[in-house]
Amino acid sequence: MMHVFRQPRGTVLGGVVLLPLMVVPQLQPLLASATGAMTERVVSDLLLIGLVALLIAALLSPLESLGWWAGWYGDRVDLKVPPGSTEEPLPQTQASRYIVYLDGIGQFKSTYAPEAEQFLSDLGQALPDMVIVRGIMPYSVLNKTLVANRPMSAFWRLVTWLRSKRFFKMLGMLINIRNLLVVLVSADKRYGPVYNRGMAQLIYDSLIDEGYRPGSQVPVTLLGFSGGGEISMGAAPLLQQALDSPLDIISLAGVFCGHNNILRLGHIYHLVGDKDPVERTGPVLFPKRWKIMALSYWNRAKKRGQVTFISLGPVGHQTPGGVLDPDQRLPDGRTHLQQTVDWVTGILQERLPLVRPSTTPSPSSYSQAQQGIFNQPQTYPLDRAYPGGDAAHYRPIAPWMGRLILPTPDRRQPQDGVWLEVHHAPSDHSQLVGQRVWLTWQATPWVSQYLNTVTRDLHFSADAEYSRRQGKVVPERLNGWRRVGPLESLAGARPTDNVVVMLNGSVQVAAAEAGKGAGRGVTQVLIDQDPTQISGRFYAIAQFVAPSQTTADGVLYRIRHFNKVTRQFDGPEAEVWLPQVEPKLFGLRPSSHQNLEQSPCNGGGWYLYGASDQSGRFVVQALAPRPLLALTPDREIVGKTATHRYLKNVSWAVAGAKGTISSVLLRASDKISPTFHLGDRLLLNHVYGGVGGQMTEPAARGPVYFGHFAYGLAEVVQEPLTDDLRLEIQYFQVYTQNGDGLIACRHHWSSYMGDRQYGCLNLRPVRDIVIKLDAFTSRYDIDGVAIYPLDRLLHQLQIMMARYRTGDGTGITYVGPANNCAQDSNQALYAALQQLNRATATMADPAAWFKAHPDQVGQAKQLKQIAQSLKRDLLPWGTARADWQNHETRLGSSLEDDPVKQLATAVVSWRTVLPRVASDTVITTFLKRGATVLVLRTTQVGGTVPEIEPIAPLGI
Amino acid sequence: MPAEMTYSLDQFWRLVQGANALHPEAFQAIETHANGTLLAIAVIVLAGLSQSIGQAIVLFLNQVKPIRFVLSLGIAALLFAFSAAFWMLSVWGVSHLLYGVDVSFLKVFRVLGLAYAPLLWSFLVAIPYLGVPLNVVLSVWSLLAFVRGFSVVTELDRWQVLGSALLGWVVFQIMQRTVGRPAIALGHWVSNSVAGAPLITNLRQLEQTVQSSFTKGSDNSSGPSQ
Repeated sequence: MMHVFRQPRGTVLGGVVLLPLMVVPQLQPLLASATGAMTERVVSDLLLIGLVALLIAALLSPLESLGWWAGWYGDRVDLKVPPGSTEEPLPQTQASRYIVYLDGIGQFKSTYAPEAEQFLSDLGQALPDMVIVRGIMPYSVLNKTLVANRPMSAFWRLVTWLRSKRFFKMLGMLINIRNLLVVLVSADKRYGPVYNRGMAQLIYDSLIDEGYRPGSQVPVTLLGFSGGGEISMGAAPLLQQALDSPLDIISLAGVFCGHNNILRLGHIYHLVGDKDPVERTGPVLFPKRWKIMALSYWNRAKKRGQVTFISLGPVGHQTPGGVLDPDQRLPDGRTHLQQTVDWVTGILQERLPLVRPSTTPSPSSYSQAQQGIFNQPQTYPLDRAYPGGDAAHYRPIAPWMGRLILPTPDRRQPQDGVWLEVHHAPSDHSQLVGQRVWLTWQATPWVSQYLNTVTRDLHFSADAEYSRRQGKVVPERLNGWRRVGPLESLAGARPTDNVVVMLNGSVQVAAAEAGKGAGRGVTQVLIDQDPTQISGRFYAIAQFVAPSQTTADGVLYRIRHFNKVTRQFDGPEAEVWLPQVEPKLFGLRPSSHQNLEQSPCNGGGWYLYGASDQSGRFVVQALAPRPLLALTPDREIVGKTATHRYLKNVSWAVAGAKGTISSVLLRASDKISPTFHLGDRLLLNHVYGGVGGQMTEPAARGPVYFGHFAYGLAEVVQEPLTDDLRLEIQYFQVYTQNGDGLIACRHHWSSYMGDRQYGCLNLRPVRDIVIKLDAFTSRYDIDGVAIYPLDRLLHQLQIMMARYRTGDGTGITYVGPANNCAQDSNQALYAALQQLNRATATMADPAAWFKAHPDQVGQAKQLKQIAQSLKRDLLPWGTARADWQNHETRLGSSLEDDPVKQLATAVVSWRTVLPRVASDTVITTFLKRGATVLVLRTTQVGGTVPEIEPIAPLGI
Repeated sequence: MPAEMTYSLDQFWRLVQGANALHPEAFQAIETHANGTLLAIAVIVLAGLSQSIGQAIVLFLNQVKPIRFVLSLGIAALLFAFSAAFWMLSVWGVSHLLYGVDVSFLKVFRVLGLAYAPLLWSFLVAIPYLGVPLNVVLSVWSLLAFVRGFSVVTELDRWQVLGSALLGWVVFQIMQRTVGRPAIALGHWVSNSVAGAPLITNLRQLEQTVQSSFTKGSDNSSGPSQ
């Protein structure tokens, strides 16, 4: 054995032990003529020797690749000799595609059997603008042919010479057996990774050698015949990663095992003849190709429509009669070879005479919503005027508002930026309203860290393509873009430019002259935070009085404005338009304008968000019940047990609550202050329930309804229309691509909750909890660094949302039990709490800090305790979640990727699988540590929708 | 002496064949055989060697150099033998406490050592693709041999034998994590020193190593990082 390992020319011994195999069949006629027990003995002995030889050959077959990996040969792949060559001279211009040919198991040298040579030559002539890379030895990681450069090459030369003689023709089987064993090495779960890596390297080197530029996006096709099919599938995933370009596979009667991760590749074409016995062994011998193995990569690729099967008619495997046979003819007069060439050129020139899978997406709730003109931004003309010219009763939602417009690829800039069609601007920039400005980032340390973390090349995975066809709204316009930044992924999240936003934080305006590039001559607006999606431009505070005109399209409603002087709804009357909203995919209209004046919430009045249409009517796009956002709780509950009981049992009581709101203040003890102050910035926690009743939503038709979890920001502001304090709420939605067109981004209350088409208010039961804990919102100065735990959380959430929007470059994010909204949001919270912990633990002079900040010592301790509770209750894996720490890792893969592990993680961290339970846990933790908590509940508030009933999310 | 050696070898193979066929006579024979203990040790060490050859991929993936590779195989065989002995000890202890079995440990060692005979084939696990299911077959086979052998030497019924095996396994695991930790650490230290590098034995982790170095090294191409 020592000798073998020191000089592991696996094939040396492989060849020797195969000799008996060669001899047995040849002696058979001779043996058959003899008689008696003696002959039987000889035959059985020879068969035994053959079997032993085969076993030894099989044992030695992985040695070449393993020895290569272990570095035993010393010689790396010889680059002096180009690993492959091209069929035709390289074209002068950039090739439109590179094709790599990987031959079947009959290959023993770098040139091929005559039929394969002719196939490549015909293909080369038919595809002059493509480069065909040939000459790769797919059965040797060292790219060594059998007949040269190896000690046993003399043996293989003898075999190839002998097999040309009629009597020894069968000897060709030896080559097949040798290469077949290598196919098994590639298919083996243990050896496969090494072999396939070697082969990916070899193909990569060949492509580079022929002038291929990685990342050039020139597509590559691996064309594998027979065993070359397995080699292609094995090497392709790694190769695609290294080439950073689209890669697909054409398998000509390929035999492959089906456990390579081909899901991220492009398309796979599998061409097989009806009389092919060899290809048929694949689906039988390899368990991962059995239909029952529904989770194997092969079966999942099939299910997603990633594989096209093409029948070659009455064609066998190898020549004669096989896919490359240049002599045998089909009923239509073409030779087998001609037919194969036709198919392959057809595929590569994208003129397949096939019914290709439909590329039109299935209808979705989003596509149906787009039918309503009031859901299209163009409906609302751009002017500076207040609705009806009434600045006393209408206010803009924010100083800066506008519609995001994705730049065309030629107008993109190195730094992430998009167009903003300005809908509203502060008075000193009001001349910009109606114009397009270039929206981009300020140069701050946080912004550059943010951009570095989330900017990705975006190429749709097969999953994204599949989801698009299923009707999910994926960023299809960004597919194929390089370096997509967070503004681009926000503007390009939907198929059309209909994302209307407000700007947050400090907004800087750079005059037109200072603009550069696409922004030349255009004003630049610079921000340091993500914009927030909004619905409407202005809002009023009013009560509904009565409908004045009802049509199929909607209702003209009389409203009465709030009067700041009398503090009553006795202001002027006006008329507003409430368009009929479009139904969701399952048939339900998500909100109603029926009997709004009879709603229990009408007494307290509404915020009406909207804009004026062409005719000057104020169109109500979103609603919010005013008392909900006023900081005036209906009840107050004090005490640990009572608050806990309320949270767990009472707050989600939905029976009989339809149409109502409630606002309840919770404190763990009397000592904790119950008041909110102007300027308070508070943590918001959101959980929603389901839609039941006669029109139960599809997600709620199962036995349990999970719900959804999100964090957000609630600020205490002074309402100019009433002079009262109120909450201004934004959600930071970590949400996967969906059929509703809901984007993972910051959402204003008007967009996420209030929107009559897309929002939850009229549709779902919702529990929003505002958490006031000074320890969490304070500023900490430690060793010269300012730490704001709340802002840290919001930053982390912004990163997470941007990553969700691009699916980390794949176009889609999946959510599984181990990786979901609650898990990811709470990871962000934990990280925010930990930052302060770490800073206090490593500070240079703790004693001095304690002395200088006596109040902060207690606060830091509070946060530390919260972090510990969260870790214990919600994140049993702790921060060890590598996908959070390490930005390289891909996000939410589908459950199918690793079902056992994902379910195991889910079982251990079961609380985060249930948003309601996760929320209860977080809130209880904060309450115990001295937070004041305001619980805002809404249950299908708005017009009458008799077909639905609220469903509370599953709790324990 | 050549004649004696041939005789011993012959005996050895006969016992191994008997154990592989799960014949009770083979287990009875080794119980009383003059060189029984030596034969049992030979079976265990050879089974260990065979198994380490079958799983040599781990050494390859860790890029262990040839001489160290062969030494590592030998060390792995010895460690296998030690661990087998401790495992038998815990099974013996459990059966003694649980079912009041009153047989000397030496006898149990001989018989259970022979029960490792099916694992002599475990070098075949290295066969590409077919080796993986073969591994399962061999494991089940050696468990059957264990059951047969242990019931021969202790006269327990098969459920009691399985009970002893299961509890013995639990005790063995507990020992490994408690009092056995220095021994385990020593074993790791020996294998790592012989291999010349800390051995990663988790196949998944190794697979990641194999793949990640391609993306890193693909620009200057050719061969793994060494």
